[in-house]
Amino acid sequence: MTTISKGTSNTETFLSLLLLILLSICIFTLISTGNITEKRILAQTEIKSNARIAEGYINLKLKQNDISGKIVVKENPNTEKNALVINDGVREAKTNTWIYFNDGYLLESTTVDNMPPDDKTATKIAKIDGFNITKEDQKVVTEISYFYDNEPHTVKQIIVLRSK
Amino acid sequence: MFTALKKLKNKKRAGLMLYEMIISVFIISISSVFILQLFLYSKTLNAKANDIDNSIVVILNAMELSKNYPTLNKYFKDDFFDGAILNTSDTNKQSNIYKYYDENWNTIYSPANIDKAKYILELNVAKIESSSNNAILTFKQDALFATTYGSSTGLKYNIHGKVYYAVDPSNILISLQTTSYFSNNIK
Repeated sequence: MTTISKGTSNTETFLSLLLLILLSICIFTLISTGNITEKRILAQTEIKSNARIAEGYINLKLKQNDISGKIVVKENPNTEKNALVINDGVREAKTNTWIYFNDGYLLESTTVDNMPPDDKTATKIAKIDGFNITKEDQKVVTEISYFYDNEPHTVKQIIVLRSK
Repeated sequence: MFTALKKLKNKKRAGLMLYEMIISVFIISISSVFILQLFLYSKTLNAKANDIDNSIVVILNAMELSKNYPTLNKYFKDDFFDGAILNTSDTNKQSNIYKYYDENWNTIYSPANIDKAKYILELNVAKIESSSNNAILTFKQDALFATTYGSSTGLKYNIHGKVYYAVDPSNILISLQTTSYFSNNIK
């Protein structure tokens, strides 16, 4: 009789331990899933917000400098890709503000007139994966690309300038 | 006698521990269901935010383009409307144009693939007979956008645009309205 009772007690203890392990696995899975989900959403938000920052910055620059002859789209001699160039300054001290893409960043570099942009002195605006800009008369089209989940995404923005 | 009581007490304790564990597992299972639902909801919410974000870009692009053309016919001939379906009897008075996008927000160009569309951009362009104010482009969406430029001459149209899910047109992602003069006289 005593032996049977001891056996039952051991089984119950074993089952309790088994459940305890199950419980810990459940809690661990729940926490790790939550952690992964949070990281994924944060990463996506950051990538998206970087693209929107780049988009918003270019929009602002175009609207601020919407004066005839001030906004030009030309090839960046360093990267051989299109860049937005804003002609600024007065007669003797003309400057060019280059907004261009290089090495994973949208960069802004202010140079003396007709000089190419300098990566070393350029300011980083946002981390993106690609940038293209075209200008056809008053219509400016920007394309900002980024990768998420190994899939390419592009934000295309159309801005129509008031000035010709 | 004392030993027997001690054994009985130990036996009861072992049983109690099992009950406690079963109750704990039950509670954690119930709460897991709610927590998993929250995860699912956060994913849905994130996807919806993404959709709204893309909708705003698409609809603002369509409305911004209206500044570039003096007439509706020229506006609708822009590359942006490639593959779009125009539904109108008289383009100078009122037109509806539908542009279709797939799940990755890529334009669907072929009418044969319209059934694969996930999002639809619908623009309703109507001519405004009265031209009492000088605003040439005004965006309205719960006062979020309000842009007014100087006076102009030209045709005045009201563009009402919305983006919705193809499967459920009542589920509108974003709706924007603009009053626009179609004129290239702006200097």
